[in-house]
Amino acid sequence: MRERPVVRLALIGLLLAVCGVQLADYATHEDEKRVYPTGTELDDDFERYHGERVDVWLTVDRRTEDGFRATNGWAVTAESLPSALDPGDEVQVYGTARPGPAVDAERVVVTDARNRTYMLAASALALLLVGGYSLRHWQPEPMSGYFRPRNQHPGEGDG
Amino acid sequence: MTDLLTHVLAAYVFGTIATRRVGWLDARHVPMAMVGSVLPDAAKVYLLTGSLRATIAGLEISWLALQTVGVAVTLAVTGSLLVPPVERRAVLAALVGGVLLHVGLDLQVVRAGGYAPPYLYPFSWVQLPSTDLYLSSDIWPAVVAGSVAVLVWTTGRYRSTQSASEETVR
Repeated sequence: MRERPVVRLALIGLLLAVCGVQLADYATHEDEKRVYPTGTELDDDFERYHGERVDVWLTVDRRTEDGFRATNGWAVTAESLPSALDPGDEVQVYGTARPGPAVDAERVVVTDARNRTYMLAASALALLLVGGYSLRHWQPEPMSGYFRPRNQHPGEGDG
Repeated sequence: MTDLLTHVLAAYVFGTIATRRVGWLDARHVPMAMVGSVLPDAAKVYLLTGSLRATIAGLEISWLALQTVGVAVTLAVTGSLLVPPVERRAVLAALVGGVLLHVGLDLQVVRAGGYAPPYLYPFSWVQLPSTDLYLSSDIWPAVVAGSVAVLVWTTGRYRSTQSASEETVR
């Protein structure tokens, strides 16, 4: 028995709507549920979180005597920083929020800007690999709206 | 997140091994596992929009929800409707397997604060502890995954050759 295209289309629409509801629900509750304040909360009202633990991603603008200044203007102080910390590097900072805005860092994890470029290039390569390998085994059939195995003939195995 | 190449290569490895163990899975389902392993990284759309949040039709949404099990599995179910019914069970298993593998690998990423994002949403908001095994920008995970993928591919070719030889002898 063939399935009805209208029913299938309605199901796909319903599932995409479910995705949309989840995206909206996540945005509504994320701030109250996360272990640490979110970037949105800190951007909106940093003072409110003075003295609290924060876990944030920052981009290094320049090194300072006792830490570094981030591109968003925040000052980060740390007892020790990796020697390879350069402007443009992305940094995860875990520490305590202080007036400034500033963060007394307990842990700093650096992502070298060059490694970030590698990550983006490798990810682009991965998308090409997935696309190419998928099309090697499956072919789109616009008239039916299906992807069919390349070793299967149209009409065969429609259930 | 681990870089996407590592996710895809890991999905190839686990997908290929699964096709050798599970009778109703075939080589054509391996790329579906790889597609599944890509789905949670749809959250990276924020790199294009420049913000983690967006407002659509008056509703604020968070792109980060795309990396959760709930949304990614919903997308996997949607994707399974794009293949003929006879293929659906295997394709859905491959897509969901890829999604779960992605989340599993992302739990190994170094987090300065010690906790991974709430990947289990909407089933739970719990933030599981990260194992701090590697940075998402580290190169070695892709090297390891790539080496294992080559090994799995090579053994697959060897098995095919062996099967062909045995057929000829018969």
